[in-house]
Amino acid sequence: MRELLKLNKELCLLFGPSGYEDRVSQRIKELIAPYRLENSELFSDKVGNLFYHIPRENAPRLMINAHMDEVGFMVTSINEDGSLKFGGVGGFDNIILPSKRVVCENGLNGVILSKPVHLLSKNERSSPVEMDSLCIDIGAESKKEAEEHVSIGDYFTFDLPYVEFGEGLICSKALDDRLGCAVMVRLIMEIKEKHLDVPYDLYFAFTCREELGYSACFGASERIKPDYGIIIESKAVSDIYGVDEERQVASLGEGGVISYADRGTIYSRELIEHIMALCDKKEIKYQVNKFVSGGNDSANIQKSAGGAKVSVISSASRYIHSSSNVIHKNDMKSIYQAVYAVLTDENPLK
Amino acid sequence: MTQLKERLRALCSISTVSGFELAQGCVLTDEEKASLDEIKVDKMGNLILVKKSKKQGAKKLMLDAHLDIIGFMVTEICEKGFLRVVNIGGLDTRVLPATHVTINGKEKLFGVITSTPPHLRTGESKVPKIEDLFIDTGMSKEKLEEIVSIGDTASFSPIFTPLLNNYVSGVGLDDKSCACAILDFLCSVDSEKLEYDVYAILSVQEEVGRGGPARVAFELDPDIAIITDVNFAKQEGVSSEESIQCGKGPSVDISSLCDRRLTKNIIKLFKENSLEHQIICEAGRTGTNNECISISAQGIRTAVLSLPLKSMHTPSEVVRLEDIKALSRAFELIATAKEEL
Repeated sequence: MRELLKLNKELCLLFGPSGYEDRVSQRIKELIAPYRLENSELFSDKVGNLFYHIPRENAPRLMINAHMDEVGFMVTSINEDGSLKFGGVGGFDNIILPSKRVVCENGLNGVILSKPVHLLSKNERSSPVEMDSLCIDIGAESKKEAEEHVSIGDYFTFDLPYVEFGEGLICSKALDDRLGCAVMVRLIMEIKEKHLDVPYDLYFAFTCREELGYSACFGASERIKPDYGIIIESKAVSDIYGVDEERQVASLGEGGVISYADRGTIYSRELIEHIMALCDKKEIKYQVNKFVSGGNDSANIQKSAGGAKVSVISSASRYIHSSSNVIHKNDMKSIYQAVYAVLTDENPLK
Repeated sequence: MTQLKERLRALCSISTVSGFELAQGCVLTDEEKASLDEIKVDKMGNLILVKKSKKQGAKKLMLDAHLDIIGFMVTEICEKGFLRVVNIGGLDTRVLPATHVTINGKEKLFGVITSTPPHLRTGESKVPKIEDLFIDTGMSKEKLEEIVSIGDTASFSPIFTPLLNNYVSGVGLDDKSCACAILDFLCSVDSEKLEYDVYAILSVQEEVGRGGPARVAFELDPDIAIITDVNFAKQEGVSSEESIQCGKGPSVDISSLCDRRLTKNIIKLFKENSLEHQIICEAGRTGTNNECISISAQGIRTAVLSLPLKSMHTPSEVVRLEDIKALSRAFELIATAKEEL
């Protein structure tokens, strides 16, 4: 658990918005390298997806997937006063943008300015924040000066501290989906350390550009052509005081969230029930998604090549797509245990 | 500038929510304490810093910067460790979701302000009201009740970020930038050169409009008082008419509620000493402590100096250190002026 948390923190703090996953991919490669099995393959494809393959003949092919990218911003123009206009990379609720600290790919800090409350018109006060009314201030005093540091097309991401707080919670940017990456890296390490004999032709796929909806995972699964896909994700929930029970979706600390359906996928009943039975047997906590919402790379894996049977195990996440995603440590552990159970299954899927 | 930056960082690291300014400990460093003749705290909590002139019968100069910052007060401890809060001072609820806060309970707790994703929201309101927002502490209600009580305060977590050109972004730069200028002035000025006995007030409850320093001014009855606060800096969406500019020094506010002669003499003094400054006109109220100080005692001659600040009342206010340094220099010019102001 401690190793998993350490990996999670390191990966969350890396810079990696959709389309700029290089640093995350590079670091994951370094982390995996010492744990490679002799017959394994570790490689990236032409669009940046990273694969770790442990081949096994005459066994069903299983793809475990998490995406490396996080939501971020791209500089779209530079104002005369040196502030930066930006577009969203990935989906945002604009409400979480104003006044957050951000960081550029070159390490330069900025903050998202917002107009002082004192100067808002009545109409502005009652209107939600629009992204095009916001800009990033890096401290540059003119367009010319800003251009010495930043170019149009440069990426920014949120930059607030990674905090462990309360009773077992974590608050950070990019938990969606670095927590999935951390779980996968830790599994890869454990396979080596414990000499696990996995009964599948096993692929771990760390994929790109999930946050934009045109995910590079599609190509990854075209390559792999899996029989089964298990996606480790982060799921938007709102188990917040005052929110109607049925709209809370799932609760932090109650285990990995298994969905029967979301906006993108109707999941494989066979695979879901197999995972649930394993969890029941091993007394691993899980919960079932109570509200059909969101979507993830499952949709891509399911529809790729000859089609695949897919299931998702998500970490319930409050304030997703913000500077401050909140998850429960124990859920990450439960997800880890559930996938571990699949990989060490005595009665594997056919 | 490094020293000034560190002084500002230290000041901003302490939560001084209105009405609870000194509840989280002393805001002064040892160096700052050592530079003063006297430090007093009055019944309201105003921190009074005295540095005397060596001259016999020196007049009294009062400087005011408010120490309090906007924040929250806990009104209910809810299930699953969520805190219901009210605002202390003018908060823009549009900037709050997903913001990090520090709760001043029996111990300091981290919290994050809630935000419900659009597809899971109910109700019509597009802009959250303070009653729709909670602080998520990640604790059980029972555990939380051991640490936090109703009435405890919270404020934005003190994230301090240097930007280019000696700009810094942080929490409570309104009005700690001005307090920082005062402390910088008090630490650097040679009391041999002071023409006035300086009474610097780091005052309370400005953000809730309660006239914190009025009583101090009454008792002190200074010959002149300089009120310093932040003012809106030009930024995207803010017009030039309603703002001053970062990097152009402090502004002298011309207002009907300030002393006309004092204001003019200060502008003259700045010009003669080539101190870069700006002028802003506030035909009516200045929206600062000037209003309560000027009518204190039998009336007090006041002037207002402002520092340009971007994104006021957010967790990422932005100020330029050179402007703070220039304000410190402005205090020095005033406090050492031989001619009558």
